[in-house]
Amino acid sequence: MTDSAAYEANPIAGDGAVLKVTDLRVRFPAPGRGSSPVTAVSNLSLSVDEGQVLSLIGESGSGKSATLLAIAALLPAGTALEGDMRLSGRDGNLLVPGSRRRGIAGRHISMVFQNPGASLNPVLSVGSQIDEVAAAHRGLVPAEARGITEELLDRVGLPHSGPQAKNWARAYPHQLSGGQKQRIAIAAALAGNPRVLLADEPTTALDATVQAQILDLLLELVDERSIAMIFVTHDLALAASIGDRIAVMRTGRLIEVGSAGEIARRPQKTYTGELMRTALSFTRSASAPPAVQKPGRETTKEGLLLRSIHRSFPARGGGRVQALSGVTLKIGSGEIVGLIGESGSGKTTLGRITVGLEKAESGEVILDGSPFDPRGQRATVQMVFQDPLASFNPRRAIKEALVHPLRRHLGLTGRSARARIEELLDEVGLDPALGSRQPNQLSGGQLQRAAIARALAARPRFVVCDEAVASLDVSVRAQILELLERLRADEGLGILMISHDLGVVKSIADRTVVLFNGREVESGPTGQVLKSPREGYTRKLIAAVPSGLVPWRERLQDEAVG
Amino acid sequence: MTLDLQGSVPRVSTGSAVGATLLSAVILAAIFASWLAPGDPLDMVARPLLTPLQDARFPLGTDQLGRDVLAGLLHGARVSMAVGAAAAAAAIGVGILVGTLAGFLGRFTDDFLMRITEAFQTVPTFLLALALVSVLGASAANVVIAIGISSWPATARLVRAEVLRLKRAEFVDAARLAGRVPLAIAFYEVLPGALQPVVALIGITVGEAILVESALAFLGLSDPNLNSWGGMIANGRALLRNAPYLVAIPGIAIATAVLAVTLVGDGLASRFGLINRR
Repeated sequence: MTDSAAYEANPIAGDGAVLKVTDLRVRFPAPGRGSSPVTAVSNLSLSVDEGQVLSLIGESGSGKSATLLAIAALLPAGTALEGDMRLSGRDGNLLVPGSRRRGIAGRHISMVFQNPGASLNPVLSVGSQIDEVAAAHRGLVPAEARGITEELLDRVGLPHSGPQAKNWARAYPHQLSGGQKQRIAIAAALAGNPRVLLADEPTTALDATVQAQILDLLLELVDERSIAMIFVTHDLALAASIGDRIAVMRTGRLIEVGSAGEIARRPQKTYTGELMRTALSFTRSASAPPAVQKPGRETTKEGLLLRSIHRSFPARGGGRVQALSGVTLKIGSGEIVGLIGESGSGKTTLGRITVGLEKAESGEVILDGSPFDPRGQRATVQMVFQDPLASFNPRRAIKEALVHPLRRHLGLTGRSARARIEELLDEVGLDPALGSRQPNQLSGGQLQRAAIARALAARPRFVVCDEAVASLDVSVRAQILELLERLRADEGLGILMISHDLGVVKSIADRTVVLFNGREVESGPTGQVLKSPREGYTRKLIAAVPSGLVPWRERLQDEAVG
Repeated sequence: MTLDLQGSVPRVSTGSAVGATLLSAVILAAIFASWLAPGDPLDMVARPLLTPLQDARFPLGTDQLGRDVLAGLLHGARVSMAVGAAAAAAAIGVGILVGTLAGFLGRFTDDFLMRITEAFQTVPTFLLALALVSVLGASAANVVIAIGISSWPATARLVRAEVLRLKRAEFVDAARLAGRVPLAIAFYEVLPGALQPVVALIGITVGEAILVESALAFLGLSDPNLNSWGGMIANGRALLRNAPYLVAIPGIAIATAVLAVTLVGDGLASRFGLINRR
């Protein structure tokens, strides 16, 4: 790794930079007649050095994707690009289309995308897809490139020989896990021996432990091949951990650039500070969750109890997959229980069984000491879904979604229902006038507030939040969590908070349950589970989360030593 | 993170503009037939076998019984459009009902309804319509019923597929938690979203209905009291050598009407973003 002192002094100059972008401006053609072109990025300058990682962060719509696509020359024709982009050792401005630019994108500048499933062709074996890239860059025919492909696969941790050998090259994308597919995508990106690697949220779709492995791999490659990497992410803790430097974007402009440690600890701009404060809540143990639980509650019958729940699903190609095997969980009134686990751990199934959308094969759901009847007592347990946009009918106004629970569960109609809808929207901090809008006219945060209002409309005593803040930007996420906490305090709502994000659970849950492969691994007060976990799996899960304050590379070295 | 790069307003293509013009001409002819050509088009009004442009009062000539071909053409438009639209509406209505129930209720209902759909699909549309009209008797209502019964499976399968996709959406779960009953969810929440692709089928279904009606009339199985284009072709067939215009004129009319509805259907489909054509 090169000494980054020069950058501290003048973060943009970067004279030894591999890639240098000056005054980039990206404008998309006007979306319709009579409207003006949309400026996605303006006056953006950045540079990356050999063996360095630049984290590019910002909330959705900040222009970070447009910036990355402009560098990769992947923006659609008709997009206006202005500014200057230089690759060291190459002449000329690479933003200008033409012969100079040819052969650069994909080879010297290559890219890893967010969704590895979508960036691979499902009908070709992964090997042949890498062959094609490798052959194109070396002037071979694809059949001659298999050797190179196998080397690359070996490098990204899918070895052809050795103890874990498998003929990975002949596998098809659907036979691989998300992490394996991302490794394939990385191998393909390496095939041209790139000097710049653009990574667009490459780990967002992956589980925490898999994310950790992919981050390890990317950093190893950056170090060993002196690649300059631009890592785009909305996750600040991740950005601060993996980046040598961070560039913060907002509404198409770069508002702050600096060394990662500096920005994580002492951000100059209020906006960055705000982002950091919410994003690093997991690391900074400032806010211990308030213990509202009254003594003696554990012994009473009050609450929602799931007792030894079993559930399996038919597996692809016959047989059954055990999604849940004997999970027991209790949510008291006014209690927030965090449920964490990676995908496939059964946490979503457990949530659906809790609200009665799914049936348990054995085991029971008990409400205040007697069996929960999903038909008769549906109003008691409600749910807030992961994707706020998908959880509203795209063809109906928001308030229509609130009409039905009021009518079916409380018998409210006409004027009293309308009044109650306004009350509910007001309660979740949404302007009641927005109730007449269509779902696609609201932002994600506004929709999730409306979804909470809908869940509350039935006057439930318990609410299951299935990844309810996962799709929201950090600042909005904090507001929604505050809202949930207030509802718990004011109305004694019991909440089951399902999340893969330890930060969310840590900031809000009184107790936390860790699920792995359909079994409860560990449970207890949140502070205890996350601070001093008893089980190895929990420890692994926690170690996989980037803290934001400790560089990821140090973690690599620690592992090598320990 | 996604980048929305679409959003340009689709322009009306030449094809759908031509289709819309032709279709409005046919519809106007159907609406104003009694005004443009008063009286019964089946009446004898002039000397038989006047060739087109021979007599200014009968610009398209007369047939072997002295009936005005233009009057027949205009009134035939009424029959084709009415029967075509009614039969397509029946077919699409049945298809939507069956598709929604099969897709949403699943399990036994789905199996049962889909086996019936397949049974109908294995018999060619025209043969089934032919058999039904022979049994039910040749009347306009029976022709509509016969065509409706024989052409609903395509809609049913399409709607079922859409419903199957949509019923896994989170808003369906949300409606369930709101206490709504399954049928209300199926028809109120899910169905409206499943209807868009059906738009693409409207043109095809109406066009097919017009063709089947014409073919039935050609075989003499449509309502004998209605003047249909297919019937006109059947009448002119015997004189194909001496008076080819008696077959050609209604033939062109059928082709035009079917082309028009198909083009308009296509236009609607691309308008809703169902098919992409650049």
